[in-house]
Parts: sequence; structure tokens; C-alpha cells
Amino acid sequence: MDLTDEALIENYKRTRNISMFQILVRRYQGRVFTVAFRVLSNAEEAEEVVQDTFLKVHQNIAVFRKNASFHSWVFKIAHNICMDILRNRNKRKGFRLLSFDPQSSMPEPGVDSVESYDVISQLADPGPTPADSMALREQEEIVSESLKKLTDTQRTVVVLYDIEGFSYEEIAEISGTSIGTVRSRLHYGRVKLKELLEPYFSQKMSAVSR
Amino acid sequence: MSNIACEQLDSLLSAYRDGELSEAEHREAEGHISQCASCQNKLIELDAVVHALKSLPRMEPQRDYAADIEQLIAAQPAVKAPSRRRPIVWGGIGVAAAAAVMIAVGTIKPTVNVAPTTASTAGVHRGMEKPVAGGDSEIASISDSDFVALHGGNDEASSDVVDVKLHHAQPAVSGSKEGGHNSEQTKQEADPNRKKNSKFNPKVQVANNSNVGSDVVPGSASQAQSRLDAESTQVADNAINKTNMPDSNLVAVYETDQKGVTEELGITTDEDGLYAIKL
Repeated sequence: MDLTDEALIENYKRTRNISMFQILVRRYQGRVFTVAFRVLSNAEEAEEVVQDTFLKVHQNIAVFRKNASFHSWVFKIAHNICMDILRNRNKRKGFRLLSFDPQSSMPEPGVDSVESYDVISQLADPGPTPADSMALREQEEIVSESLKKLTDTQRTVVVLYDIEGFSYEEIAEISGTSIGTVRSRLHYGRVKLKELLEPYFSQKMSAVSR
Repeated sequence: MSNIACEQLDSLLSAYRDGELSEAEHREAEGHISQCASCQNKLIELDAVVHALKSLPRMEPQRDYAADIEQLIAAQPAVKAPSRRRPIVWGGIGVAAAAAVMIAVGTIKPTVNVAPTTASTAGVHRGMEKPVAGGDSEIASISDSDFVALHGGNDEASSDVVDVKLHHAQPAVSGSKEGGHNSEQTKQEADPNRKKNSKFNPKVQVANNSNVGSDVVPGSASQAQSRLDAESTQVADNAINKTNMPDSNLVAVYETDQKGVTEELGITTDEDGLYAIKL
């Protein structure tokens, strides 16, 4: 049976056997990367977040409380690093404005494409036909672009809830806000996404009815 | 129809969909939605958005951090850099003053060193580029000095680089920005007119002497080491303005005017020596 996160930490603290810590890293690196990538829309920075998160976890492992949730702790650290990057980015460049064209599947110039990651995912999935895959790819790109148009705080909550499956309470803990704020950010983030995706969805619906 | 209006329910729809309402709220929302076609439509639209988000693929980093973590941990600096506001110090001003006296009588052979400043490896790269004036970890370490002064960068183009100036008999700073200076250059830089023209406007100068020296640009002098001739050093204690210091651990406070932004810089100390920190 797999050891729990907390058991792995206790074991690592006791034995300093690095393989215990490696299991934790392997367990979480994909999830941390996904959240960071969706929040930051930049693969390089997301890699940096993964690395820094686990180094910080390791640095602070001695102060990790036995009864706390490792899961929330990891994402709290990752969230803080993401927020630092966003703050620095906004300070440096100001807010980046992207035009949104639901007809286009081309990424904006200068915007990091998710292509290399998506291609792997698509190839690994034997289910859909090439036509289905194209439609799925198109939808993914449109949803990804729409996500970028949310505010940083809305996007973070949407990613943590709808993509990563955290509860409102956990997100409040991770982002250091109240449950009410999480509830509000999530709702208005979704409403904005709905508005952004509406042209795409209605186009799809009319294509189906034709 | 429930007492709750569509407008009131609107902000609760997501939480209703997610089962995150209180029992009372949930009952009230359910009563309304069961009879309101408009709210039912909104729920369907929210479902479609959530479905689209969930269809986004899970991603993996290109690097396997689990395999590399041991190396990454080992590559971290052994000594954690002090934070900007609360540097790790021995005993604040008292220790600094004692150290200064020891330098003056030649007990300590000082060296110049720029310490690694950040905890993370990625951070190290950023920190090493500009430890003093760069990102979050803006700390340069000087093991000791007979003269420490912070002023605007050597050239106007890099006005956000703050130099730490060390005056001593044998300049041997391998990582110096300009590869070391001769006496003439140093004297030129110590020219009062130059200081006057500098953007840097120190409230305090920690020490002063007439020896030749070299400029150390902390960002480019990560491995720089220099033996100082401590015997010829004089520490001008009376020049230290101990008032208006924002942190009791600070030995001195400076004010810079860079790109129209006034910044405060301080000098503090720990077991490695004196640190220039941005406040």
C-alpha cells in the first residue's frame, strides 16, 4: 500500500532517506506544474515554480506540522511563488492585453504556446478520431486563451477548483483569503469565461444543428 | 416560487452547483431554481464552462524533479541569506562597532566576498546577477572593510547598480566590474566632485581613510576576495549616524536617488561580515 504524504514526510524526517522525498516530488510535480502553467501561461516559469516549490518544501520540512495537510501546503507554497512571479511581471511590463478571436486557433504572437504539451496528451489518448482531436485541440486552445483573460485571482481560484479539484476551504487556505472571497472569485471567473466562450459554444451548437 | 430573487441567487449559483452552500442557503436556492427557467439555464451554462475547464489536459514538467531533487538540494547555498527587513546579525551595532575596532587594530584580516543570496537555485541565478540592487534578494556581503560606502553605479547606464567601495592597500578583486583599478582610477573615483555628481546621496558614511582602493560591484564579484591592510585603516566612528535607523541591526543607512525613485540602503552585519541591504 502507498504511504500517505504525511507518513512519507515523517519517514524522511526520521531517516533522511531521499527516496521518501522523491516519492512526494513525483506525486506532485505534474499537478504543481499544471496549476503553475495555467496560472502563469508560461512553461518556463511553471518549471521554475515546480523547482522552487520543492526546494522550499525541503527547506521548511522541519516546521511542517504533523497534522497539517501536505497537499494544501505544497500548493500554498506554489501559489505564493506564482503570485510573486505575477507581481514582478506586472511591475515589469504592466498588464498584457490579448485580443480574443474564437475563429482563430493560432496563438497570439509572443504568447507561449501549449502545443508541445498538448500534443503529448493527444497522442497518449487513443480514443478520439483525428477530427475529434482537432475539435478538442481547438477547444483547449480557446479555453486556455479565455483563462488568460481572467484576473490573476479569478484565474487562480478557477484553476484550483475546476481543474485541480480543491474545495473552497482548501483554496481559502492556499490563497490566504476567506471562503466568501473564493466563492465570489470562482463564480465571477466562471461567468466571465462563459461570456468569452459563448461565441465558440454557439458556433458549435449551430454546426451541430446544421 | 421561493422568496429569493434571481439577482440575489445569481452570485450563489456556482456555490449551489458545487454543493458549497450552507443547508439553509441550499434549500432556498433549490426552491427558486426548481421554478425558474432562467436560473436553470444559467446553471447549464456554468456546467458547460466547468466541463470545458476539466477537459484541459494534465501536463507534466519537461524535467523530472524527483530524479534531480537531491542535486538541486545540494546545489542550494548552505547559509540562508538574511531577509531584507530582518537580517541575521550577531549583536547589531555593538558587534559591528567591535568588529570595526578589531579591524582598526589589525586583529582581523578582512576579505571581500559576495555571498549567495537566495534559497532556490533559480533564485540564485537572479540573485547573483544583481545581489544588491536586483530582485528580492538584494544583499552583498563584505567580510570586512576599512571603508564602506555605497554610491550610484560607475556608469549612468547601470544606475541601478550600487557599488560597494572598499579602500585598501592591495586591491585584489578578481570579479570586479572593471577588472580592478589602479591608484589613479581609484583616486579619481574618490574625488569629492564625483561624489557630488553622483546620484547617491548618503546620509551616513561609515568610515573613511586615504588609502587606495578598488571598486567592487557585488553583482559581478561573486567569488571576489581581497586581503586588506588593516593597519592603515581608520574607522570614523563619529561619522556613523545612529539615529533614524529603521532597524536596530543596521550599522548605517543610506538614501539613493535612482531613476527618480528614492531608495534606502543600509549596512548590517552577521557572522560573515558586513552586508549592504536594500531597505
